[in-house]
Amino acid sequence: MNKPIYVNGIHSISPQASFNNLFFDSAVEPTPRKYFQIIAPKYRDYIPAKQLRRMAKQMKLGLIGAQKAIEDANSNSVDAIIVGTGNGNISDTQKFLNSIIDNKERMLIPTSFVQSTNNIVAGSIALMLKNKQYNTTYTHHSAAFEISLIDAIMLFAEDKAKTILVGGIDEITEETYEHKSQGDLWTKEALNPFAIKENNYIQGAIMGESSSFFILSSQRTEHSYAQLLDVKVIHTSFESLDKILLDFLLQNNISRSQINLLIAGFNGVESYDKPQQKFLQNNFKNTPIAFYKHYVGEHPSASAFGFWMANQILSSRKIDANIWYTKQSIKLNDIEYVLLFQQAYLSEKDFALILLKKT
Amino acid sequence: MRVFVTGMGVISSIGVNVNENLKALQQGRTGIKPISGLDTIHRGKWPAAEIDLTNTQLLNLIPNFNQGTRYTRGQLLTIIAANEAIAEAKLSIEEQKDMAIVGGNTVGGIDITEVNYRDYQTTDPYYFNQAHPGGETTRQLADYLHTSAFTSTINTACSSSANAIILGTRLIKNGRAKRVLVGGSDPLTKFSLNGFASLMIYDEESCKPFDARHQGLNLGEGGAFLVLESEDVLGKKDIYAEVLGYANRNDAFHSSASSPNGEGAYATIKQALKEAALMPEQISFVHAHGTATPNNDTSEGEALKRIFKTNIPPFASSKSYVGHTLGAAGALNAIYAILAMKYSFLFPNLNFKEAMDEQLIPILKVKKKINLSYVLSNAFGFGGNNTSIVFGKVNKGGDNE
Repeated sequence: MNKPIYVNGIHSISPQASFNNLFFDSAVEPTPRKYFQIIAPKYRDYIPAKQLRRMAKQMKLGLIGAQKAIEDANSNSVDAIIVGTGNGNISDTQKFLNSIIDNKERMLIPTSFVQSTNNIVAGSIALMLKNKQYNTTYTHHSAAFEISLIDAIMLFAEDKAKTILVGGIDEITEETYEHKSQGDLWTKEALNPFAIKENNYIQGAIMGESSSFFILSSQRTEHSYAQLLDVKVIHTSFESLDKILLDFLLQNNISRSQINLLIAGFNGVESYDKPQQKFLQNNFKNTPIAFYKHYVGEHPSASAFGFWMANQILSSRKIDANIWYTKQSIKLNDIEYVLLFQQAYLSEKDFALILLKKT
Repeated sequence: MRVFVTGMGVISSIGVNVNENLKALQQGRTGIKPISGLDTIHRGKWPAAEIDLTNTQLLNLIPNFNQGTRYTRGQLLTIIAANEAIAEAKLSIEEQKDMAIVGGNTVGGIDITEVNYRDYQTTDPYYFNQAHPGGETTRQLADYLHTSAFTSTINTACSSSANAIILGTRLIKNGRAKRVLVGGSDPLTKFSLNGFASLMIYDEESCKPFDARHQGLNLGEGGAFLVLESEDVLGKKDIYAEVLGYANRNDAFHSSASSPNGEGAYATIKQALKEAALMPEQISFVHAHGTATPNNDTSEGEALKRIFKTNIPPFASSKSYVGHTLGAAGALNAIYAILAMKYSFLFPNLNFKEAMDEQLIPILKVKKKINLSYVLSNAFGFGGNNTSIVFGKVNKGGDNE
């Protein structure tokens, strides 16, 4: 059994009004788009101008996210820093690749090379906080954030930490869209993401980005958003998944009927959504299914935004009317257990489950 | 719950399996020579530790390769090393299926994207979409092995696969797995070669770890994997070593340099020894990270002096054999340290002539028939990510020496 773990601080920078937790109060305009981009915060309010100049977007987002999550949890220090990112710092990787080609491998400037490593966000946060503790970075397509949560759960179980900063971060660049949209995985035309619903599919997913940070703690406070019960990450096939799901719930002493809300990683692509929906509806007959990629786009750490959303729902008891994938009615106050489920968009055998409980 | 190493697999510039690597270490034979494989303006001039096999030749080392033409060099190195480790551990098909995987790498599929970067319109979309990020290297391994278990990838720069060993050990200790395949890989790429060159830390001669004349590193390429098993599923299997202690600490000093007093490395080694419940004087060999950059060697050297005082155990870096293999380095160091322990020998730190510090003289000659009970293996990376692991010698069935 895992030790009780509470989510005490949350923060998300996304294409939505998540920065000041206004997501559920401000209307989200469903404008057609080829891809989502974040609403950029005022970086200079948080990072000294001198440092800002050469800093890559992902580092800025990570540094601000860490500050805001720590502030939200009213936490003095953290015992570990864990970041999940599927693609890492794409903009600096592209910058360095371009400079190698353009300059024919001569006279290269190292900044973008140094910042291109996936662990630059976790490393920069450690530098900012002068934190010399446990520090790691996971990069495993769309399971990177969930693996980060599993690491945190184990650190608590090992008595190695009382407070842990966990983040999920991925960015988009125009070049990325150009490179990746050559195949049929991504939409080539601007689409209205809010048109995505059950049986209403799109041709190619809408790409996106977000950066979400959380403070997990072994101590419950009056501001705790939710309790994190468990996380499962598995490389397997749909055929094996029913048993895996049951075992996962059983290990946490929960039956399927106790799950009041499902949050899925649907992105509107039929071949991707349909088997997942079938799996969920086979296992949870009438449980409402919400989703989140129509708010932030498809990207490896989108589930960290889903996690942010779930924590908001469990604590504030608010919900956005556009959140539903299947048409459902729900009494918000009845929600006790939330299960986040997702399959990796680009790798059909990778699944992740997150189980949250109201506090 | 005790955790044991029951299988190891390596491919590097000094050999395509453990035995070839072992022989090269015992003979003091380097794999560093002028670049011949990688298409770079530095070919024929700068040294690197390349594996002298093309991707097609590497493919021939992999039975039942099931991913068609979609692969990267890192994936091939990963599968080759993993296959050897699994065979050594004598896992049954069922055991292999339930085995968790933790891989580490730093460049993922950049070897393919850097070549096709401006030709993305005519390149199979698989490479830009999926193979470029590092997670795909491990995912492909899981597909190849048909596993149905936890699978993950770490990128903490040059300490990635050392952290993979730690995560694997913790998964077992936390009851989340019985067996874990851990390790890492990286191919030589123009991206990393030019990256380290742009930092002015690429030695245009052979690298010289801990030598006063050290100028920087040479890159290498490789794959290194270990099978970790929990004591309750071990049976009477042959054991390479026990994972006794480990630590991950951040230097929090600079994004691409280590603190001059080795603060991060010191804290990491100290914690790893504490976890292993060992005194510094019980360590009989240190596989240093030893990249041969003046910054690393000074910082790591200071940490060794602070931990071991005037009694520094025999130490060496294998970077002067296999270069810096980035994502593979942590697991490679661990495997070499375990081989030294299992076969009771010490390998020399090649290219050492002039001391940078009289207290920091590495192993100069091969020493055989020397009993090593506990070894320490270091791996440090950009982002201040420091990792140390302590392994102990064990007999069949798990008894300590």
